[in-house]
Amino acid sequence: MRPDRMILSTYLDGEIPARFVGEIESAIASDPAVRADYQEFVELRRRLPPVTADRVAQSAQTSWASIRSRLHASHEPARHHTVSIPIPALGVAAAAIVALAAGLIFVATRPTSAAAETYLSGRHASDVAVTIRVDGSDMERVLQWLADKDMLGEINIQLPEQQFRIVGEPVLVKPAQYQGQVPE
Amino acid sequence: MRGRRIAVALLLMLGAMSVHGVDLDDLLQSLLDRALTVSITARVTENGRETVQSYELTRVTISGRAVRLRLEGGNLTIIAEFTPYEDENGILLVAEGRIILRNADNEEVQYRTSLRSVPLGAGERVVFYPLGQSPSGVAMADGAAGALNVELEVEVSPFVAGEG
Repeated sequence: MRPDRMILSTYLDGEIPARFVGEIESAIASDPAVRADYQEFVELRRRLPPVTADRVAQSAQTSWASIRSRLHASHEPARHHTVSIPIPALGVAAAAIVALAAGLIFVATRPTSAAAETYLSGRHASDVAVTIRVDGSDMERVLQWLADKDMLGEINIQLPEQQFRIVGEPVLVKPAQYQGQVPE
Repeated sequence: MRGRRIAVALLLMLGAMSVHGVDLDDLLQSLLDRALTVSITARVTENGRETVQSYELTRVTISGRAVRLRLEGGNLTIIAEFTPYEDENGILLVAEGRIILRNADNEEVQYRTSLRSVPLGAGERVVFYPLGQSPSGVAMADGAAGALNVELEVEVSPFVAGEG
């Protein structure tokens, strides 16, 4: 098996399924061309500046300070502000932004009625960047809630142990666009 | 747990705006009112018609949060993510597919990524073919009759209390 450059890059990202890892490592060890490509990627990663937690935290603080200064200058109540964070495009920070946009982290503060609905209904449905901080025991509760609602986890499906082949470009179609009949 | 790692990482890495006077239970319920149900039927078909294998599953999510599937077997690994984005105009479904496929001669491994999107109405279905769609189906590598393909049929609808 001779992995191409995209496979090698994916391997370095740790995203190759475990059952292929041994073959890729054998190819790197035995094939000079594959080893040269692999070493090129390794060298490239070595030259990139490391992203440390301190650097990310510092960037986050800078961005938060900018957001807060703009919020204080506005007339909107604080609880209606969405959180759109212009954090620099560092790898870890970028991943955090993606998680923020879709994550569910909440703050438990003084209980009150209807405040949550008011808070959320003040925004359009497309404003998904809502972030609130959870304390200790509430984190467990939130995670359990997410699990109970089938919101967590990757779905794993076992395919037949047969040979498949790519036949064309991936397609996303509606039923009216099916070229054949719907499978029975 | 992946959700725990994401949540803890966010707590450690970033501060957040605090929301005063908001009860956690009320907030969770309000978010549930905005949740979406993603129903997926994963099929392996033969000759594009007969279903050899079928799985039905349901996940609850919110706008902008992906539902992720991993399908493995034979020479194929598919990682598919479906992300619904909801606004006042309806739902935009984004499908991302990553395929790792080893040729029959075991000499080459192919890696393909794809990103497709389609607007949907609530309850409307779409089908994602990560390996492509051929009217005649996919020829088996050993030359035998029959042709296998993978279909992922997806439906997005508003979450209904009592589900999940």
